[in-house]
Amino acid sequence: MKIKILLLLLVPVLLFPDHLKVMKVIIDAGHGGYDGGAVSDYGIREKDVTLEMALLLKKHIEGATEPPITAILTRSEDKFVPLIERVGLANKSEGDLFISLHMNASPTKRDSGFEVYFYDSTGDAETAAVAKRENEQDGSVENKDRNNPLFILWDLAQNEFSKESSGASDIIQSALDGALNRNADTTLKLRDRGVKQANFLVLNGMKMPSVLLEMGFLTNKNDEEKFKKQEFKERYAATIADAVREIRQKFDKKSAAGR
Amino acid sequence: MKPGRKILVAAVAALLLVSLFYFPLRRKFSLHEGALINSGQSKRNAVIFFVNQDGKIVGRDTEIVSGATVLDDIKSLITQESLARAGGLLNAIPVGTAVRNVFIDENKCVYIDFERSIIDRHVGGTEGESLTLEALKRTMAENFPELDSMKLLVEGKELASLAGHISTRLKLKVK
Repeated sequence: MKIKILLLLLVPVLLFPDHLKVMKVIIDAGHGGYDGGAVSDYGIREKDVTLEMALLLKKHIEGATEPPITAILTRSEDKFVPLIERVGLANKSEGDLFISLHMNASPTKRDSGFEVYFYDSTGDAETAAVAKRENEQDGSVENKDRNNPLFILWDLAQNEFSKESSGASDIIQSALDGALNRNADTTLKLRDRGVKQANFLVLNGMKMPSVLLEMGFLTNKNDEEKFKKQEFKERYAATIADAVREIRQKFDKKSAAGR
Repeated sequence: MKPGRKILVAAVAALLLVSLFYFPLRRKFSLHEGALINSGQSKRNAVIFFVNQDGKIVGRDTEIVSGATVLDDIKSLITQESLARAGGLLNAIPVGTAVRNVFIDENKCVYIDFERSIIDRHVGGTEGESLTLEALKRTMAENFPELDSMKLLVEGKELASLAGHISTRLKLKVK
């Protein structure tokens, strides 16, 4: 019943594109508390880097932006916040854009660079297809639910946000590439791994455009060294903040065109 | 019959004889519904997956002595994939990962129940998670082509994600 009410609330969101104005940004510092995330060879923990970068990003987003943009953190201290609570907080806050910050890791130390992700519902579709086949065999109730108009509406909503999320990912990726890789200062260079899609837990169920940024690899020595430097982190956060302002402009234009 | 032809016939016969003994021992896995029991112990070819220095998933041929059931073989292959490697290859599945149990449902979904070690020893990161999932999917697809999907469990319970990023709550397609 609760799900049905939630889905019905989505109807106006789908009908009126005004939600695209970026006025409230939810910044999610990945991991926290007992969940340290990835750890570098020198003991730098993902949860600490993400929190520091989230606080910096909030500072840069809220400073000198007219009209102002509000930045809300899913955590502002070293504590564990379950992923579902992060999604809940973002939706309850009626955010216009969700940015989840993470540090990457790989078995190989050669992997390096940043990448921007948005939610991939294809995995869900494939899984739904498997479930559908199975349910057709056993005639269970779940299959009926997947043919429910409300389920289809939810799917439509996810697709709608998917386009905006894809656009926001492109802007953040392009901004970071420009600031870090296309200037005279070679010490800033950080490999651009592009925009990708995956079935992230923290992006599933978001009622707003949402992205997950893997800022660099803690398992790569060069990347790790960069994130030890305050100047680099300030530059990085300021670039994401610039990207957020650009996203607002793009969304505002689209919103105005729709009126 | 000319001596040259005799030699040729003998060589072909010898080749056929060797093939009869050799190939049954090195056949691919076969998973038929309701037939998970392996018929006698024999060596089997398989492909297991690792990460190269450039971060790509690569397959390596191996052979195992098959267990009593196909489920034992799945467990054996994952165990091989979690052994520390020499020669430049890296583990996509964390070293020391232990599998508690494996079972297959009627919908050709394999459930792999891991010890907590797969989480505790995981390198983390979206890339690390992707590589682990990809290695597991390709192990299933390559060696057990009749499987449709896989589901990961830890200590008998549903696993939301390996390291807090990619969802593993639902069945993952292996084809």
